[in-house]
Amino acid sequence: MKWILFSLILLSFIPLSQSQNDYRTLDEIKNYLMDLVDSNSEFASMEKLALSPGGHEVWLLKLGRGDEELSPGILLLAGADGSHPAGTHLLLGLSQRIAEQFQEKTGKDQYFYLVPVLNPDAYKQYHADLQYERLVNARETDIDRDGRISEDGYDDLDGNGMITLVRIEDPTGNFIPHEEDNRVMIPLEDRSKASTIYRLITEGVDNDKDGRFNEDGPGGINLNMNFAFNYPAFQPGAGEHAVSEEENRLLAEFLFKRWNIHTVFSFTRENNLTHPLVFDQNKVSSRIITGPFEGDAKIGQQVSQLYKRFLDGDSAPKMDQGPGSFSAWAYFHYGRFSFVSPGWWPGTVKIEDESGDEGSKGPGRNSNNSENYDLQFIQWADANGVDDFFVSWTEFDHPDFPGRKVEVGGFKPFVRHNPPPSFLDPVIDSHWVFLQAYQEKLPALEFQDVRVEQLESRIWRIRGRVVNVGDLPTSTELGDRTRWVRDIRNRILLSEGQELLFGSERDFYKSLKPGEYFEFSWLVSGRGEVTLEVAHPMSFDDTIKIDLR
Amino acid sequence: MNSSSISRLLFFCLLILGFQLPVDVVKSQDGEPGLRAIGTPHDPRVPMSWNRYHNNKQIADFCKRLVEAYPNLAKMKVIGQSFKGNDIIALTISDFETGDPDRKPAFFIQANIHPNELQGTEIAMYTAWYLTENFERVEFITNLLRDRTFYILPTINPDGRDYFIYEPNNPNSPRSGLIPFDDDGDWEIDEDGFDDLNGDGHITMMRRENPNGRWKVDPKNPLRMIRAADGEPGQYDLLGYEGIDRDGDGRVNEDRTGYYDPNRDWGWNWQPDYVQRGALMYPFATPENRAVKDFVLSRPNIAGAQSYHNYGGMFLRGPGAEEDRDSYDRNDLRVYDLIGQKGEKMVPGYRYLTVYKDLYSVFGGDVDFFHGMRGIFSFVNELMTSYHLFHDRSQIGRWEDSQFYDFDKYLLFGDGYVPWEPFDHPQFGPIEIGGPKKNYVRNTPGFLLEEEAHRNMAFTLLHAHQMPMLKIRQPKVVELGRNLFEINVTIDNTRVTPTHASHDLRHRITPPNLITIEGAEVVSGWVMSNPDLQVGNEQYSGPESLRVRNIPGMGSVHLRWVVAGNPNEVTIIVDSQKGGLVTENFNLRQQ
Repeated sequence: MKWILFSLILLSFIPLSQSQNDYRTLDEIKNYLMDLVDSNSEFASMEKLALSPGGHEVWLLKLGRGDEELSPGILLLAGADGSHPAGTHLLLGLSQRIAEQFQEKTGKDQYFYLVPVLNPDAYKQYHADLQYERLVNARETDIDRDGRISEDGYDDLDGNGMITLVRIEDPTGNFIPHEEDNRVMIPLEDRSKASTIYRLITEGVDNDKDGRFNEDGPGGINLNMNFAFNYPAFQPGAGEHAVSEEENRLLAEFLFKRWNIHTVFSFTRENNLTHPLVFDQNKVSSRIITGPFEGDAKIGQQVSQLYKRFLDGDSAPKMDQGPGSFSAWAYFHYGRFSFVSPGWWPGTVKIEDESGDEGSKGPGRNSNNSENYDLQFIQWADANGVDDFFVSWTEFDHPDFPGRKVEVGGFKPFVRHNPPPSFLDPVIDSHWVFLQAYQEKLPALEFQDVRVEQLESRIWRIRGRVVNVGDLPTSTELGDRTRWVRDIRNRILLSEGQELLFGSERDFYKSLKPGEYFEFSWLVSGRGEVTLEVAHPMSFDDTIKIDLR
Repeated sequence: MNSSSISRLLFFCLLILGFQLPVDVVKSQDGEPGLRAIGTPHDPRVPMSWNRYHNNKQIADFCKRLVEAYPNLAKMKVIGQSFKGNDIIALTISDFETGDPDRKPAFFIQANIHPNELQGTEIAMYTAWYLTENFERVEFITNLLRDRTFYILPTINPDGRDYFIYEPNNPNSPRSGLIPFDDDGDWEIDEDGFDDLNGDGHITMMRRENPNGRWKVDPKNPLRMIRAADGEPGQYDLLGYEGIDRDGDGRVNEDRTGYYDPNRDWGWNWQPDYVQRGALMYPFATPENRAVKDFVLSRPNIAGAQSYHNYGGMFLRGPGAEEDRDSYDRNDLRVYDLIGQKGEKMVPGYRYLTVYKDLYSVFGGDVDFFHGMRGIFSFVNELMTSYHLFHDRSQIGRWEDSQFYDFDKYLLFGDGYVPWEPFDHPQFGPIEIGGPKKNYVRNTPGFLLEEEAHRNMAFTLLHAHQMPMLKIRQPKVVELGRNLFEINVTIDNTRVTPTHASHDLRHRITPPNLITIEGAEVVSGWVMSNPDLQVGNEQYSGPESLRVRNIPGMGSVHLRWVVAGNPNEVTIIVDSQKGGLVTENFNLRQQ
């Protein structure tokens, strides 16, 4: 518990990096990264991973020290979800904290890789003249597969520069206003009890007169639907095939070269951190594996507990990892521990008191009485003085619904998942404390009980074991099945004149859970120094030297 | 009949003969006249012999010569580079004077994805050669090039091809491209490959005498090793392919050049390596397949596809995995069955099979990508079968059997095998080395290659011929009164392949066919399901261009436009991605 206190004390002294009034533009992000690299050039660098179809760079920031091949790494990624600038903001805040950790020059050799915006084409829409929650990149795409490209996008009917909703009074509709707050529209359950029923569409007209609204706007491919696990072929936005987009492909290309990445954290509107995946034997018994292995699910539960010590899990929304999502892919195909959360939700922040017991809840946390995220958001907004998040329903003469009452309005784009950035400062703090705790748990290999027995004057037996003394497995159980996760290498290096009589110079072992070990035995002839070296790209390694004399 | 009428007839016959002279009785290369063998171009502008295997340079050279000889029929394009920087070449073969080749229904041919499976390349080249050399000589071919386009990629794994040809290999190696990987998971890359111990350019087998071994020499053929029966002493241990343990891990040849399978790399129903051995990190991880995929995606006119592999004598259709059964429904299978079953007659010894049912599971195979992701009817041919050896149907199999030894003895006179010879192995001691040469067993022997090429080509031409062929019938006009007229148009598809496979329709892969009328003032437009009984659907928006989801194989669609004013001349345009672009003018007043 000491280090948590220490961290919290430390945090209070760190000047919060320029408190932002609004989310950064792509240029501002680039400048932020360049400044960070310039002032930390000893351990920081950045590279361009890819160029988006819209001509924007996808940046990768690397912070780390030590032999990169053999020092455990953590990947942090945001902006796979194109309309989630809060994730990017959180990640940039963390980058500052990570840099400060390396400035301290304490701690072990390790690496952090950060991708702040995977989908810059979509991210840009936040700052565009017409603001809407865009998920797709700028690749020219016939999203509805009708032979016409981008022929039916949103239309700003009320001219307020943002895309909200249109509701049409229509007895065949499927939505009604929530009885607690009529700003919130919910699916209709009992038609006989409803007074006014609405049809709900996004803001726009049926430009191509195909009976569907806004089904083929500008772009593009949703990068968070385009990865190869559980790929939703032919779904709008999924692309022509899995990993069709260069942003995704080059990210994957980069990751598969980085054997040392142990864990992937991503920030999107998905959540397995407060709602961890559960083990299901059926899902790992079938040919195509669709659920976590038992040991991995257990780690998922533990990490979730850890996360919920710093962030309020009770108020966190359940958000499944979608088909083709990056975070699911990072576990099932990349074979790494992969955790994802939106980072912020109404009621995120939780302050832990000294005793480690559950302390006071963050402001606006009042969600037990409601399953509805929108209501939860409104309660949070009211409690925190956030207004201006809603466009009141205003009547509009819609050309596609002559003779019906049509209104334009609804939540402003982005607001429900992206609070004003100042509200993210404590969220960054909480995540940093969590991340510090997490990195302390990274696997560490250690030689233990090494015994040297002299059999004859010039022959020695060296026996012992290698233990994982960390609090996380060296790699996932799934990783033991894929060739893209390396085995542990245990080897003996001899001096000149020495010979190995028994045992092989290097042996390879599958993953070790915390406390698990393997045993080894070598028979060496010849005096001199031998070096035992156990190495694993994702773990802290160990080397010992023994003088045989 | 008087003499003058006889001489007139004679003259007429001569005229016909004379007309045919350049085709049938042309002079051969050395100036001596000869008689054209039926079915073969007699005096080709691009002389070729089809009893050999070509390297990358020779393939490129062939393509260049073909384009030079037939600039109106052949184009060549480099569509990308391999991992090692070799060009990947695509030929476009069509009659360029009868329309844009990229708008005609197109047939796609690719070969040699597995580098040890050479002969698909020769068959692809033969196809390009045969089509161009027979244009305006064989009417069927002339019409085929008028109506269709062929995209032919002779090798989509040029790195592997030259590696197989020039480096020591066995009949099964390599199956991959040349991207280096750590096959055995020891953190080192390609550190323990084959060793051509006897320096003959072939990687054959190692055997060592052991009085209690489980192998013995086949008494009927001293080259062949057979298992000793249980309870019976053997003579030898088999020690695997030629090699030594280079990295001291106790294993031989366990980390060689290439390990992955480029035919587990395609982006339909792709699965990672722990489900599908040979898969790489993600779909289209190889630059070669990526280039081919981009080529295919940029040509939505491709309606039929063929991949060449070896061996076993098979016409394979998908699905590769049982999980994917639903993507082949009854309507689609009707097309596959017609072509596949006809193929069994055209290439004796070949069988029409389904990958997952009759062979093994494949996730991420090319044939599935074409069908699954693009809705293209596609086959994989596994070339070369033991049936070719002695036409013995009872012994058709996928593996090397005694027939290959008999064939080697009686027809190859010992050219197929390296005889067992002693060798002093640094780790195994005295051993013997011998076995099939790398170019035997899987790759068709020279004198059979031209026949294999022709028959397989004919199979693809059948498939290409059966791609959609759209025809517009003369419209019928009915006067409705009040200056309104009804124009009824029927579009026929005269071949078995629909413009949209069922799988395509289900997932809206290909946009609908667009059928447009010009030259009339359209009031409303209808797609009629039963024009006689006046049953149909009106298209409210843009009725002059009717969107028709499918024109079925050997079927028709009926369209109706109500127009203002008595129509005079109209143009009907049928714009179908896979069925082509057909434009016709009609004079309606003549009726």
